[in-house]
Amino acid sequence: MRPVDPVAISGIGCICSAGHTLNAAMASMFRGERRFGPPSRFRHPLTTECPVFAVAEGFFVPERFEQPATVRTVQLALTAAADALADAGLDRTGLADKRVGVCIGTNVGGSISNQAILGEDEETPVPYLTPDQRFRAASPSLSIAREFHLSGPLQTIATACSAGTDAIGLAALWIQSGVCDLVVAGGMDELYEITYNGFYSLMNSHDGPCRPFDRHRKGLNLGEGAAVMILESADSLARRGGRSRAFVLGHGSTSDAFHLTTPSPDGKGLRMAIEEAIRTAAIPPAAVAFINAHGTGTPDNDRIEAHQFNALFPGAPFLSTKGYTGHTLGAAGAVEAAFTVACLEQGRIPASAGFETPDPDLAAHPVSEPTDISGTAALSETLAFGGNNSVLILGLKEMISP
Amino acid sequence: MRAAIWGVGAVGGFGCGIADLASALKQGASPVKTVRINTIEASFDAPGLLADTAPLADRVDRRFLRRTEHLTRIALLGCLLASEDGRRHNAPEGNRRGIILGTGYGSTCNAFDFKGLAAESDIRQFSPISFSNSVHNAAIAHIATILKENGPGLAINHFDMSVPLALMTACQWLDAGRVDSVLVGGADEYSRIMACHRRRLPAPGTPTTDPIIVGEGSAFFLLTRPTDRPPPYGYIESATTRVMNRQPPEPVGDAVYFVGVDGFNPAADQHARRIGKTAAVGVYSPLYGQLPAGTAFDVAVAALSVKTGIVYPSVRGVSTVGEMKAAQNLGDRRIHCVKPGAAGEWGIVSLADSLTCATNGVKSD
Repeated sequence: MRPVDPVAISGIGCICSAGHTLNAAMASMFRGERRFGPPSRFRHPLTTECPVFAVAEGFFVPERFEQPATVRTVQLALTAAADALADAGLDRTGLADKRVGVCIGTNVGGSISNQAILGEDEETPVPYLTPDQRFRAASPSLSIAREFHLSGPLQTIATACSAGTDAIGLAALWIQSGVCDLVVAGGMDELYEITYNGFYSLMNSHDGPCRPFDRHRKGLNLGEGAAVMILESADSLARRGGRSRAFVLGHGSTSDAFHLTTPSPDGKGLRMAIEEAIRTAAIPPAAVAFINAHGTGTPDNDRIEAHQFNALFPGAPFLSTKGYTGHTLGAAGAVEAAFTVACLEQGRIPASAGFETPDPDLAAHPVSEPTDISGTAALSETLAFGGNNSVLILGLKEMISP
Repeated sequence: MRAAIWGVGAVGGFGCGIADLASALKQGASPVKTVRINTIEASFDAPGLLADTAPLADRVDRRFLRRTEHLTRIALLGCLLASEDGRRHNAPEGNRRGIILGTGYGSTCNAFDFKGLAAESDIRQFSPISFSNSVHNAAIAHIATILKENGPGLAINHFDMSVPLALMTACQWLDAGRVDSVLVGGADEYSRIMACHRRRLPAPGTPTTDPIIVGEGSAFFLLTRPTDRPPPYGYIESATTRVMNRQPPEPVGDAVYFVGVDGFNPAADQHARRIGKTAAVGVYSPLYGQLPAGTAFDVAVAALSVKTGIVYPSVRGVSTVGEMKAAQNLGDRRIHCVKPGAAGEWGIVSLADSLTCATNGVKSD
C-alpha cells in the first residue's frame, strides 16, 4: 500500500484499571502499581480464581450525559468519548456543523445485547426488548452518536482483540478519504462472565498476575476499559483553531490464515502487518522510538512478537502494558494506542509489568524499569483470535525524520 | 469510491448459488421449513428460510469443516461461490485480497453456553475451539485459512447496517490501494435468538409489522477497482450509512429502489411506500427472510439485475404506485438498495452497469 496522509489526533480519553483518566493511568503505571483482584461482578465456577483488572467503581457520572446508560460497556464508552471530546476542545455545538462518524471496536458490546432474550426465556422474567431496543441499549457506537447528536457513519468492529486498533485504522481512512471531518474512534469492553469462562476453557488464563515476556509466563489476565481518540481532518482543525495532539501515521493489518487460536509460528502475518504500517507511514524502522507490544503473557504470542521485534527493530525498547490493565480485549488496541501517545509526549515508557526473568527462548526482552526514549514515532500492535494482526504507527509530528 | 463486481455468491432459503436466486425471483417464493425451538418457557415450531451448506463438502476438507460452526459454513460457502463466479468471469488477478464480513448477530452457536456454569468441570468439558468459534471474526479467520489469504480481514457487527458498512469499507480499501480485490458480504445464521425475537414481535398482519419469516444465509461479492474491462455485474457506485432520525431518504432521478423491508423496522413499509410515490420499488425479503444481513441479498438481486438487464417483480406488495408488479427492463437506470435501519440509521448501496456520474440516490445526506 502506498504512503498515506497523517491524520491528526485532537483528543484522547482513556479509562482502565490503572486510572479513570489517561493522566491518572500513566502516573499509576510509572509508579509501578498493578490493580488486580478477583472478579466481583459475576459468578464463576473456578476453584482457583484468575485475577482480573477491573475499573474502579465511580467512573460513570450519569449527570454528564443526556442519555441513560445501563450497560457497563456503554458507560465506559460514553465516559471515554466525553473525555476525548473535552480534550479536543469540542462540545455538541462545535460538532453540529461537521460530518462526524463513530468507529468503535468491541466484543462484549456486540453480543451482550442478546443475552437478555435467552435469560428471559430460560431464567429471568424481564420486559421484552425488540432487537432494535437491545441494539440501542448495548451498542457503544450508537450510544456515542445519540449522546453527542452525531450523523454518522457509525461502525462497530468485532475483530476480537485487535478490534480497537482496527477501528482507529479505519477511522483514519474515513478522514483520508473525505468521508468525515471528524471521527470518534476507539475501543471498549467490560469484564464479562462469558469471556472469563471462555478464556479459561482455552487454558490461556494465568492464576496469578500475568507476566508478559517473562520466562515463567502462564497466560493472560482479563481487564476492562475504554479509550477514544478524536481523529480530525486538517481542514476541520484549521477552521476551528484546534490543535493536534498526535498523528496516526500508518496502519497495517493482515490475516495469519493459519489457525483459529494459534498464531503462525513464524510470525509471518505480524511481520506483514508491521511492514504495511511502516510503508504507509513512510518512515524508516529506525524512526520507531519504542514498541507497545500486544504482550498478553501467553507463550506463543510473546514468542513471535519478540522474534519479529528483534528482526525488524533490533535494539528498540518495547513493553507490554497488560501487566497494568489486563487484557481489555476489544478495548486493548485503543487503550494501548492512547498509552503510546502519552509515552511519546513524556519521552519515557514505564517498566513492562510482570517481566522479571528473561526467557532464553525469546529473541528480545522488554524493558524492566521506566526507560527514557528518544524519537517522535512509536508502534502499537495487537494480535487477535483467528490470526488477525493490526498495527498502528503513531507520532507527535506529521513528518518523521530518520 | 467505486468498485467493479466480478463475482456473486449466495446461499439461503432460496437455494445455493446465483442461479437458484434467479429462479426464486422468477417464482416469487422460497421453500419454508420448520424448526423446533426449545426454551425453558416453552417449545414451539417456528418457520424458517434455511441455508443448506452441504455443497461445501465438495469444496472443503471435511476434517476442516468439523472444526467450524454453522455461521462460518454459511459465510464460507457464499465466499467460495463468489470466488468461483469471479474466476468464471476472468476477474482481474491481484496480489492482495481482503475479506470483510458484515453480520448482525455474529456467531450465536455457543457463546451463551459459557454463562451460568456451576462447576469448573463444566468449563473443562468444552473443546478449545468452542469458545473461539463464538468470537465474531471466527468466520473470517476460517475463510482466510481456506483461501490462504494473508490480506486484511474484518468482521463488522453493527446489526442491520453491517452490510452497507462492509461494502463501504471494501470500496475504501480498494480506493486507498490497501488491497487489489475484496471478498465482501453479509451472513447471519438462524438461531434461537432470532426465532425468539420473531415470536415476540407483534403478530403478522398487524398494521406496523411484516409477516417476514426468519431467514439465514450469506451473499458475497468479489470486488476490484474498475479496469478497462466491463465487469459482468456492473459497479458499486457508492455505499454509505447515515443517522436517519426517522425520516427516510428522499429519492431522486429515474432510478430503481430495492427497499429492505424485513420487520425489524416497523416503519420500513412506510418508507417503501414513500419512495414508491416517485420511483420504482421492489421488495425481495420474503425470498431470503428476516435477518440483519439481509441487505446483502438485495445487493445480490441488484447485481443480477444489472447483469441481465431485467428488474424482477417485487415479491412483497407495498401498496405504492411505484411497486414493480411485473419485470421491467433496467435500461440505464441505477439501482439503489435502501435499508431503513431498526435503530434510526439508514444504509444505501448504489449499483450501475457503467461508470457515470456517481450518486447515492438521495437528495442530501
